[in-house]
Amino acid sequence: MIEVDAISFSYARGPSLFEDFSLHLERGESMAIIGPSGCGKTTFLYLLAGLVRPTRGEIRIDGKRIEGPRERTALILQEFGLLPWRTVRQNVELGLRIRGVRGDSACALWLRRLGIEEVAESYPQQISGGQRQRTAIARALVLRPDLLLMDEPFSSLDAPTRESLQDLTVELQREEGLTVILVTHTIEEAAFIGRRILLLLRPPHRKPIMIENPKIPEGRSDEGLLEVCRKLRGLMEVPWSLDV
Amino acid sequence: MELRRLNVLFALLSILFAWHILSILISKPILPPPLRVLEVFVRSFPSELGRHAAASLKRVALSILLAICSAAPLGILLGQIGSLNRLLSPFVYVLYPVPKVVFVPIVILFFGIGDFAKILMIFIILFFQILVLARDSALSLRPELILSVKSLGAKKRHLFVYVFLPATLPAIFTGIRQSIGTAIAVLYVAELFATRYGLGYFIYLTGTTLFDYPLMYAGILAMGLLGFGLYFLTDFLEARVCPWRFSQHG
Repeated sequence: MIEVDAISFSYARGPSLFEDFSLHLERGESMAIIGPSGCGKTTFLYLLAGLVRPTRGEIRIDGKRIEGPRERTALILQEFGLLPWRTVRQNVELGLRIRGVRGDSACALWLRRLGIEEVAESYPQQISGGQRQRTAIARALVLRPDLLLMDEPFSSLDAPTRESLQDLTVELQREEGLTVILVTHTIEEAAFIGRRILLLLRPPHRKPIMIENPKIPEGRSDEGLLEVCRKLRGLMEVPWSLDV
Repeated sequence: MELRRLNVLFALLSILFAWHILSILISKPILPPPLRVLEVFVRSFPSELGRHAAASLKRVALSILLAICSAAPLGILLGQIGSLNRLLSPFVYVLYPVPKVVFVPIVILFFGIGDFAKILMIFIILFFQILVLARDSALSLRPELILSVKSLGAKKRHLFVYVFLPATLPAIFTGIRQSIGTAIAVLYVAELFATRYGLGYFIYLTGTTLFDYPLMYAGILAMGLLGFGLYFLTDFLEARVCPWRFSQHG
């Protein structure tokens, strides 16, 4: 589904982040991206979302070259990206409005499914961080995406809320057959959600370091999950000078 | 809100009380007591004073409306379109700090002494105030907010309607609120020149030609009420147009 074909990218007057970087991802897969701050994780997500364009090479989704935001790609950002002047309901239906679609029933369905129906008429600043994140997820899913990009979506939440939303992400990914790409700082989160884990260390990135994690963990104390965490921790302790 | 209203009422009564005491202490016709002024105000408003107040209200309201309709969209566009901002901002930078009152004689020379010149003068002051606040507010929007809406497929016009316009509305209201005092001061100055109607003219005429001090104070009261009314209307409209600003945090 996603083909990253020999892309290079750097911001104006910034260092090179990707050089001749290639990657392939199948439909319905979930991939976590982990790495230190400033390594280009979020930029990679923006490239996939069509918000920035590679300086060389190309990204294709379902065979189509990405040249701007794609209709069936949804993006959820670190601080949720909710508009403070729109209520929860108005935020959820924003994408539909922009596309000129009336989607009252779809909107109501996702508000109910994500348990935010009761706060539908509240503004984002009036609800909890978990509810805000659920609103951002509802806003993304109401557009019936096939690719969900998430940039550290749970980083500002408390542990129980974070875990319940991680569970929800895995559940939705399976139910909706979504391709999920999640950027995270947390090793456990990467191992829990990502069936493949892309490790980004020191830029510029040339060859992807991919850790395969095919088994869906049965819980957070699943031995397989802990083993992947240990492996990731070991790899991330490798000095930054490692030439990959 | 209830407490705020009570505080405003308390402040108003305190000012009236201080005025009353001062008028007793001074005991001269140049400072009549507030009740006497109020009596003259009520008597003269339906006829003479009301006509002058209506003329002033028309001028200042038209200026505000024109300034909002032109400066707000332009300010937002400057904040939204980098190239346009780079082109026009140097002009704004040069013109913004110039006190606009100095343009009064120039405007009169070019446009005469009619209503248009008066409206134009107040418009110029409000225009820059609203323009700069709207532009700065649009420029300070968090980039991730814009990116998140862009990722939903938003084009420039969607960003204008759903992001930039609502984000800058509070700044536009602040601009109006900040400019009302100056606008009315300029209205007073503008109405001193060859006009037959307007509170500025009325106050000047009753105070320096007719020496009818209670009537002059009634004119000043009307001008104060005009400013207060516009300020109150701005607050009222902001609460209606920007309800999220007044929502209680969770």
